[in-house]
Amino acid sequence: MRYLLALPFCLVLLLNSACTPDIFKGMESKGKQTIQRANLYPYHLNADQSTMYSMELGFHDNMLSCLLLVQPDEAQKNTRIVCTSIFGATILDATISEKGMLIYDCAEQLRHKKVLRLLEKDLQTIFLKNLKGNDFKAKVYHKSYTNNESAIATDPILMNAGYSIKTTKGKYHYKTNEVEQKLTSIATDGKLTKGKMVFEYSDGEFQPNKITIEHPILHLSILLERTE
Amino acid sequence: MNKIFSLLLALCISASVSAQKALNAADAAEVEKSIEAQTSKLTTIKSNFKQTKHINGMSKDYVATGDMMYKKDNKVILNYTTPKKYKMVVNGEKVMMENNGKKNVYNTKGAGASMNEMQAMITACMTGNLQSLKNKYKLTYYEDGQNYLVKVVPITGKKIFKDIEMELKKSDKMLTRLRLTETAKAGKSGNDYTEYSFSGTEQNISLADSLFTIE
Repeated sequence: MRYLLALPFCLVLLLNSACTPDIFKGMESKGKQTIQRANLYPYHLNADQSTMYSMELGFHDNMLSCLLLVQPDEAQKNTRIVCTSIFGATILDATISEKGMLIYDCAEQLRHKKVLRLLEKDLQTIFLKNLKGNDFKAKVYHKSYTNNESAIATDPILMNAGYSIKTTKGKYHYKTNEVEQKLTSIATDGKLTKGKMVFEYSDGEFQPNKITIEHPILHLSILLERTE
Repeated sequence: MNKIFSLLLALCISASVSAQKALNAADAAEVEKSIEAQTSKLTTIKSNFKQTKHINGMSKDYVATGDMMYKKDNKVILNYTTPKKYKMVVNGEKVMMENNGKKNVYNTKGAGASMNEMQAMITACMTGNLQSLKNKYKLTYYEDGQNYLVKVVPITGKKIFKDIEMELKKSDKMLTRLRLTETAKAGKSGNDYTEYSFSGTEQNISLADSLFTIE
């Protein structure tokens, strides 16, 4: 009988852990809260200045190297994205904003609805243009550190925060490093397009120097490395 | 303000074009003959290059440097050294891209007509083989004191490029500059271009076949 009583408790625990996104494993749920865009530590590319990334697209065993030039336009509230081959041919020329992606030029090989939709989703997510406005309802997760070896009682230090946010394009999970105040990873839900983005920073820098995007079901990976 | 700036820019561009004198049909035919005579003798080329990608509206141009090797008939190596090491080898229908030690081999046979056309056209421009372009492109010749300028404008097929400008030294007919201007995009003003400048060119030197081997 005692075992039977324990069953619903175990079920609740199991369901709770099953609902926790993978990137928030080991973190404590803090329930639903209203958060602000600033909580996600959006990194700011220099306004009206272009930033260059070398880009490696991997699909199954194939690898394509290209360049990604990104320039925010403060006045237009959008970001220009130009992807070119190493040899200079334009692969994609577009602007992304909260409204979506406006394509000016696109290589024949990319002109497929599904490919462009995935690209739009990924690029919007990287530059946090997938979130409209400044306040969002989010399911919040925390990971704190308590120094138990110290003789003096200290408050736990918040190490990482996680936010699950429902957007028009699906559910996004953002993980931040609260000590360094940086966005470290984003996980996206989706049947085929489920993916993870990891942001790496050099010491003292607030712009990621390396961004890795992976869509395991599609066997698609994108590596962006800032060159300037 | 933008209109004034555009007008000034247009004036500057037209001024730079007018510095080159257009050749009449007879002179153009003569120049074409002499370029072909020179390029027909070519077996190999080795040259340094600087590649500049200009995108309208971007705050700076993307610049890459490296060296180029060509061996008759259809073998090309583009070896990028800055800002990132990258290598492309073309040997007939095969193309190999090498990045960080990872090699990818493609066959251009199934790559589509536009890709094949682009490859043939760029190779023809880089090696000065103008004869092969005449069916699909209109060629106009200009000259100044030191150089010939050949303007290549597509007349049939997919117009990936608005035009291609080739600058060849009068003395040895070697290509010193190649500019590929892309067609204007809807909603964007001006044209983006990629320019290659060549220097330290050596002709007919020994280049082993093994350099171009694709495995």
